[in-house]
Amino acid sequence: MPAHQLSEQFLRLAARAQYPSRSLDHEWGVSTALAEVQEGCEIPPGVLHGAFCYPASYELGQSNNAIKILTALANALPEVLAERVFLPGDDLRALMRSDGVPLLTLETNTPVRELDFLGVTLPYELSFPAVLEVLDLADLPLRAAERDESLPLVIGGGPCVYNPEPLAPFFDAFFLGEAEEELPSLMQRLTELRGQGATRAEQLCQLATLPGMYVPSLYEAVATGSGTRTVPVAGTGAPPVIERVVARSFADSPAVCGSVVPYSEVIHDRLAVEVQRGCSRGCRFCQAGMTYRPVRQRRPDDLLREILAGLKATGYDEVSLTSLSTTDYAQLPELLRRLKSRLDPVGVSCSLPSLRIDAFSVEAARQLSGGAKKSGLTFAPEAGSQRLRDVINKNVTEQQLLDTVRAAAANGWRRVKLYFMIGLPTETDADVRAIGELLQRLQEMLFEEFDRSLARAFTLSVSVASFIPKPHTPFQWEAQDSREELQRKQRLLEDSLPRRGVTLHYHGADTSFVEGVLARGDRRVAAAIEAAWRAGAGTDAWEGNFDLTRWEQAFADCGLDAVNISQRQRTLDEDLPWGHISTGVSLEYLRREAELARAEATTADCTFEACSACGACQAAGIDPKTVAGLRRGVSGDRQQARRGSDA
Amino acid sequence: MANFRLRFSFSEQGRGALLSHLEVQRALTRLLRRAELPFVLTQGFSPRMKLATGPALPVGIASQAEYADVELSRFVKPAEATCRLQSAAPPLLPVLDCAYVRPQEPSLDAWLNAQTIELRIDQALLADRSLEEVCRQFEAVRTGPALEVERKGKLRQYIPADFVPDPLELSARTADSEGERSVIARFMLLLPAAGALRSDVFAAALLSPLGIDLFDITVTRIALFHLNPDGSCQFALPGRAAGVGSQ
Repeated sequence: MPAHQLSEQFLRLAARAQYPSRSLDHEWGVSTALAEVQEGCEIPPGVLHGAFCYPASYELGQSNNAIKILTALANALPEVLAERVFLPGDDLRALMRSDGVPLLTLETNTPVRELDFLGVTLPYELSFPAVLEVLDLADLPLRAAERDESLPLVIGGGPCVYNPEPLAPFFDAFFLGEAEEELPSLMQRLTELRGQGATRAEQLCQLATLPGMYVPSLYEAVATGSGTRTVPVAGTGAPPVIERVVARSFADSPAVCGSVVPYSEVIHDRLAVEVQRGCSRGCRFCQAGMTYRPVRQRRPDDLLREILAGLKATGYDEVSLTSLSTTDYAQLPELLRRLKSRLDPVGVSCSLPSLRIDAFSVEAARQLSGGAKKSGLTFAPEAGSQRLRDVINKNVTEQQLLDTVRAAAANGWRRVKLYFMIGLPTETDADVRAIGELLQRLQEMLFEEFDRSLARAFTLSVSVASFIPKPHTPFQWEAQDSREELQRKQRLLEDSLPRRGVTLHYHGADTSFVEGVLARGDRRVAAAIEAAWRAGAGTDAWEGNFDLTRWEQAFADCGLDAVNISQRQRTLDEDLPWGHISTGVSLEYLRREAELARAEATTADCTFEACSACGACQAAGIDPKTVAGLRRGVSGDRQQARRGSDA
Repeated sequence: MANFRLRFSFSEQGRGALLSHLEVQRALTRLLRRAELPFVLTQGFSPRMKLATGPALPVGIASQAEYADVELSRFVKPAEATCRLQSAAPPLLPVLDCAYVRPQEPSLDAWLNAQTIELRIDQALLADRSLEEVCRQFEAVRTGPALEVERKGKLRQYIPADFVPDPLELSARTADSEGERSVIARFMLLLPAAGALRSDVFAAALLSPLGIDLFDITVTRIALFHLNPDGSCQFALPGRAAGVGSQ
């Protein structure tokens, strides 16, 4: 079918679906080259034509900063044309399949199977079947080995790429790390290779020599006496260890990438500006806290200039200062003050996505909200008892939480959301009950120190997730609680909560179980992912779609002992399926932290105190002195308070 | 100090027809910010741009000209304002024109009480039906019983003739560059403040006896205007009379 007819047919189908504006493209800010193709210009020969895909709906994918960074980087290269691909909704996919319309790129409505490359972001484990849904809807063979020379190279990346083994058969390659510095050379190399007429296999062999590139077909899984190792196939020349790429010049890279402004309302419908990358808090359960090290910060002057330019270019009326822990940004007070003076007069608001537990965060939030309605503040104590908070290295005391909630109530907030986890290593029933007791003490403080009507109106909204051990964290060797145990703890928690003033929300134990299997599985898990997808799990990550029975059947059909993957305690010297991937954080550091956790001992944040010798700075070629002590004396109230309370 | 009320028109054609009213409003506020016009904000806890749009256009219905009013704190020459708006407009919402109106003018939503709708039906969809036969079918719907519409859980009834006072005008023409023939139907649809019969609902009712899906034809609001009691029309901006035709 000619391209324009395919495009028209797709649009007719989109008009019949819910939320048709997801499929419109033609947004403000699309790159000039793509806009020209939309207007009917031919794509020049020799151009590397590809797309970056977020395997979920437009409103989720368009909110993702990685897609913006990647498309902006790629389209800045004259020989590359990079589009976006998202997964249409259930109704539109059904219409497309019944009418024989394959998955198309957003901007030029090119069939995905006609592209040169397809980059797929892997946001979290339950999205793995959605990747197969993308490939199938695009009419691409699921397995890389079955894709011929005419089809695009499928390259994975993103937060879930640090154990790529469960997805290894479906991808031609993975890119490990941050794209800012290496993506241009990857694109240029791919363009050269295609220009030289290199075969698919030749291209992959060459790509495997580039920094951060992992080509799974050049590796094999080998069972050892102690686990599974992934090693290069003899004679391929592939490196035994693939190092994560770190954007060392992060501070000099653009803080605002592209200026595409969606028509439809997306999840994060605002100008997102990444003020810093990485987090040095050292929470032992947090994968992002390990895989985005070391901490790098942008300069306030640059941020101010780029935010003002970004708002002018997009017309957004809100800017969000994003990072894993924005209140850890050393110059935040200065930046907020300068932003407020420029943005308030033109009705532009500023938001912080996460707050750390201290009075400074509440003050920052108060400064941002001004006289506006205060909807709620969110904090993450993660555990109810001090003992367990020390185990997970969440350097927060109960007094700090009390002070923070007190400051929130005093400044006009009537709702605080608190994130906790259950199923953490060494957790006892007393630790679970401690969550309820902590909430009780927060309420008592409110009733003692504030007007009774205020205290009664104050809501503590509690969200409880189940702990899932993740690769490349100090807890990567830990056993995950069974579903039954998590459900028992959930009931225990319910019984220990105050009778009023608390709303409780759980993350399902069933999804946590599957997520845990996908997070730490090896290549054998791929068959189960495919089986689950064939049974209809393509959009199990979407709210309301998850069905455990599909997964249990898939695990059983593939002879996979999923319970063993999830609930087995590993020894610290076990060979792990992701052992060939290096995030820069050393195995010695992870083992040391695992042992400190067992000893209920904490490790200080290296941006306040001395270097914790995690190895990330050295691996990235960054002087640890630029990170260590980055915030010493800037806003170290939390660490100082912690030392005081320990004393 | 008195503010200035700038009225501008824009179209929603092609893919733009699939935008919802809320999406259009959001796109317009961003357009105005990009245009760097001196817009006025409300004085509440959450300051918002003083922007008002005309009657909502249902999803799937295109429009040749929609209108919006924005309050400005200082005067910007209309030619300059038009230029800024046009260069800041997203591709699916091109800005056509603008002019100042008196601040005491009634709101667009209240004042614009009639519209002309055009249905463009591919002749192939009508098979061998004659124009006269289609005309009879349409008239039967227009003068027929009430249309029932469920909205927010409530069933409401609309008598078509109360909203479409005049018979539809039908014509056959060679419509597009590929020479395919279409049947064009135009009618005036009233927009009373008490609740209007939606253009997509009426169009679907017209097409239903013919077995044609609304998604397979093009429906366009070709004019939006104020209908005076004497039957004369007034337009939100000068030079926007095209397409009124059928009243």
